[in-house]
Amino acid sequence: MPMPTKLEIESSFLSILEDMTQDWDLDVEEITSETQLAADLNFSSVDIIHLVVSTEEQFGRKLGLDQLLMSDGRYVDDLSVSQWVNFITQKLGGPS
Amino acid sequence: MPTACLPDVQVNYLQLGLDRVGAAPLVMLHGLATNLAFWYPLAQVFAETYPTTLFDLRGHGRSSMPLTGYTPPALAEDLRELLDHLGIMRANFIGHSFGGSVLLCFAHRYPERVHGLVLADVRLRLLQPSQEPKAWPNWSRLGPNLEKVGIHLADDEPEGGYRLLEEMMRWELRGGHKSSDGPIPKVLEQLLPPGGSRRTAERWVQLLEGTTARQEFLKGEPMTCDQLAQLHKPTLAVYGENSPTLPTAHALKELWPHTQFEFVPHAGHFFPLSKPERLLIPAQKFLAGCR
Repeated sequence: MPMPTKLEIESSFLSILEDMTQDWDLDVEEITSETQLAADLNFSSVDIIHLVVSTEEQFGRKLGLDQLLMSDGRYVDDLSVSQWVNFITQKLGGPS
Repeated sequence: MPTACLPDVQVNYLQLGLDRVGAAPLVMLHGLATNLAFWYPLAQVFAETYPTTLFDLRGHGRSSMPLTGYTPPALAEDLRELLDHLGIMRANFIGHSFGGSVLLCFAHRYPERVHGLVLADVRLRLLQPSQEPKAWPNWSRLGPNLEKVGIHLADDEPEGGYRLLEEMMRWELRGGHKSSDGPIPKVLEQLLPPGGSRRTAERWVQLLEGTTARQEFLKGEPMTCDQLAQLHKPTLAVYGENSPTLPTAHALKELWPHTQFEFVPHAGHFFPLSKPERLLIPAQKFLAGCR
């Protein structure tokens, strides 16, 4: 299977986020690469874990996303869409 | 994440390490006002050895929020139904805080389904009927810091733990860290369930105001001290040295001479995330002996 481009990865990732948040009462008009998951989309810790599972299902493999989420055994405060996409791209072997 | 549609609740769960065939399953229960993400970092490690199941208690995380059914024995029935749904007949269990109270109700009712128990900072109403702040090891430091951020908690409040949790969540909804002029004292940071958020806080307040949970959480464990003493299961109990749940630990020590106790220095109620290795290392050793 050909390696997805970074643009395709971002598009898939944005689709997952839009699916997850479609029923949420959010002020955000559009999710972009700068959108922060906790600050802008109001993600809780369990939503982040759901996103990890959905992302790995989407790309059909383990991505070691806990390396992105945690620092010194604790969850990092917040992450932007572009940080997720860069990490996924790197793990899938493409240019970040 | 998958959802188990049980008779009156939809339970969100996650299973890791399912390819660890032959090892006893491990099931992890979180405490109040948090969700399965509480255990996710440790579960990743346990899942290297054991098929590991995490789930959101009724009314928490991404599980549904029925109007009733929040007493520890009712939540133990949710656990039994979830295990039946997943085909887990017998397992080792780890429970933090209120999750441990649920776990002991389960073990009391279904002892044949339990290999071993790991209790992390569990308060049992049976052994510790009230939890007044003035008896907490760190109250002299904590009380003034709470006042600084506008939280008043009477030092003789009998349900200090619950009241504090609710006040901290309401503080989070008022802006929490962002509303403060300077950095939040560490003693306060340790009070918020790790990985918390506005969404988690909103859900907690909704649970307290829109269901019977507030009254039902206080029902306690429907067993006697004698029955608790009779629960002869291999058990590891780990407590934070600064935790308000210490009276339960000391009472359990009297009741269960067979139990291994660990006390985590300079740690509060949420030590499984603030000092995960202090739970992980003894728990791995303990679980290796529970077959």
